[in-house]
Amino acid sequence: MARGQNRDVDFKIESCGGFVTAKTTREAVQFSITVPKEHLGLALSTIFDILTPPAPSPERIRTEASIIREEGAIAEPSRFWSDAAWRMYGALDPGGDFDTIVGATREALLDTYKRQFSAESLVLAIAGDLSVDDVTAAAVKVLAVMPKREFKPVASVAPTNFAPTRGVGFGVAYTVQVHSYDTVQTAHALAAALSIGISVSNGFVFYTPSATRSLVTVGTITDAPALRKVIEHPNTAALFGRSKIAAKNWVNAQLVSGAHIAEFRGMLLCLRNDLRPEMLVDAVNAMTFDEFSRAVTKFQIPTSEVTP
Amino acid sequence: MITCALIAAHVTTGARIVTETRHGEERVAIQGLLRTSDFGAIDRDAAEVLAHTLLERNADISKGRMLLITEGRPPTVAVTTMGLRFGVNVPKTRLREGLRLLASIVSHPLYDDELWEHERSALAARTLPAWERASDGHSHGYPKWPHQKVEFLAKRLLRPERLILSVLGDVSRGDVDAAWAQVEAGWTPGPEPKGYFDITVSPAADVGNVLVWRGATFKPTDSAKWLAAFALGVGKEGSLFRCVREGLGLTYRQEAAVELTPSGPQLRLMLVSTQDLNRDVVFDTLRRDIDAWDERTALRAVGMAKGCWQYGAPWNPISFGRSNGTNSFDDDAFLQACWQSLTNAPWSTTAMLTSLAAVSVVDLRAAAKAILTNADVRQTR
Repeated sequence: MARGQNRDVDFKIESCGGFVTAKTTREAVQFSITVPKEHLGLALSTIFDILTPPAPSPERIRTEASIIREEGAIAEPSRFWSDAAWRMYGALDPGGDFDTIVGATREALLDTYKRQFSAESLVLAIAGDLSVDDVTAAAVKVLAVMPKREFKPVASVAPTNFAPTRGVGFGVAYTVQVHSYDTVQTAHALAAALSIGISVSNGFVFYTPSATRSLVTVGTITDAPALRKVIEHPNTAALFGRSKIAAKNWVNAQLVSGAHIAEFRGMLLCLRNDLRPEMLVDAVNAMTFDEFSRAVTKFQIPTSEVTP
Repeated sequence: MITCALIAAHVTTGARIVTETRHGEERVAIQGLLRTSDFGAIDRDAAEVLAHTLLERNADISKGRMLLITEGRPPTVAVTTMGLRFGVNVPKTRLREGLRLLASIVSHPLYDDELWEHERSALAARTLPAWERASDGHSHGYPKWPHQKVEFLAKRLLRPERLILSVLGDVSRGDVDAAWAQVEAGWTPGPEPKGYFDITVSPAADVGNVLVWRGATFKPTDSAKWLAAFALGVGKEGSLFRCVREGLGLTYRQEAAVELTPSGPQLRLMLVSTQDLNRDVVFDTLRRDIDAWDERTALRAVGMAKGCWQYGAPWNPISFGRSNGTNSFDDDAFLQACWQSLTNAPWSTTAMLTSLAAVSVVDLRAAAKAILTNADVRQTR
């Protein structure tokens, strides 16, 4: 879909200094178009082009499936961790199952399109040095031609537990399951992970916002003993001291440019129309030492090993 | 809102300093490049062990204090194609502390045999992602060398006269100069040791099927070569994406990188696949595509360059090592240090884009073909 009906979307956008990206998370598909502001009209018409029902040939589907298999083969460590961690909780990584992907038909893709792609489930987020009124008027024209169908949002599934997992593979990582983006548990877990992550060499944290449940993972690709030490014998006071600024930095990093703002705010709005980036910062700012301490503790008890 | 950009480069008695002023920025990126161009070659493994050691213990400052100064952003050290990169990112009110922190990392690290062995074994146990292993061009063994080897490297490398310091943010050249003069006065590394340890030449990386074209280094001002990089392998309308991914269905990731090396920029085309890669088929497909390039190809390539360098497209081909540049604030600062090392002049996005727009299609085709034809091709299974 991201290449458009005539597969010329990228040529048009890249020629004017822009770029198109697409990604799939557990709860949304996101197309992002970044252009110089004088090409806003092109970006909006491109959105319309992308959202037109797909009509791929069987050959095109086979090629895309092959490419997806290649994607899995060279995935970054975070993808392995995400996949492994989600499997621990009995769920698939957003990348999906290759056997299902390779068996996709044109009819199945169209059926998915009809169920998922409607004006009711679409969020169009635009960020930049633009007039809100002008942008809104232009965007309404695009939205007006989108089909309106009944959309069933993803059912809210409560986390089955809050048990952590520990894995080894590209280093070591610890994961806890959390609720939706706006809950204090999520904010505390993410603050704990970020504070731990910046305390070790080559630390990483990954978390994808959700309206239902998600995972927070902290790991390192080089210094597993140091991470184990920080998690199993934490200097909680020092970690707490870094946690609030680390969480603020994380949110700021999601909002560092117009493209980032549109992507992050748009994603949250798509998940649930009352979710805002600032909710996490507010929750972390209100977090007490005891609450933080409990969040750190949740990463401590390994229940199982994950070997990507 | 950024209102202005000024660039100044000047030389102190030791470090060379590049200051780029961007009004309105809340944070300051401070990046250092310790040049290794006169080393001939360095042992990458030993350099990585050294890099990882530098952030562990320090005589001047604790790790906790480092995070306080940077407000939660860990300092970074990495081995790049241009030398040792290290950097800190601080609020603009902490410029002086940031410069002092940066200098402390390389002037007063604390290390011993135990720490080096710890870092060496941690690196040896690491598994790099497939793409990074392939782009590295060689495997890492991290053998148990005598630790004196790392110490020797440290004494040769960690010296103010090797440093190009790049400061980017809402700061003035005068403030940076004054602060750095104080900092550098306390950095007295002693005489530089002479000679070399043996160079470890590692075998090629073992990553599925890898096909790499590595062109000759070229002049930093060779606009046709730069534009060829964008036309061949940057963006979803680049030749590699269209021909190898979409046409042949061979790869998920295939791209051009322009590695900055002490000898000049060097174009690298690379693709990784689980499928058999017939280099002749890929080469012929690319060559036919180049033959068909027209004005639209050049227009798209210039547009993509704008996208990468002005609007943050995530495929910036400029590479300092394993991964391509990511267009971060810190990367912008480090690019200034590298460009200063290569050209004795500041990097200017506007000037580069202007020169790319002036490249003719004929020159673009010729540059791309020269890269492909004369490149060192490596295929690994």
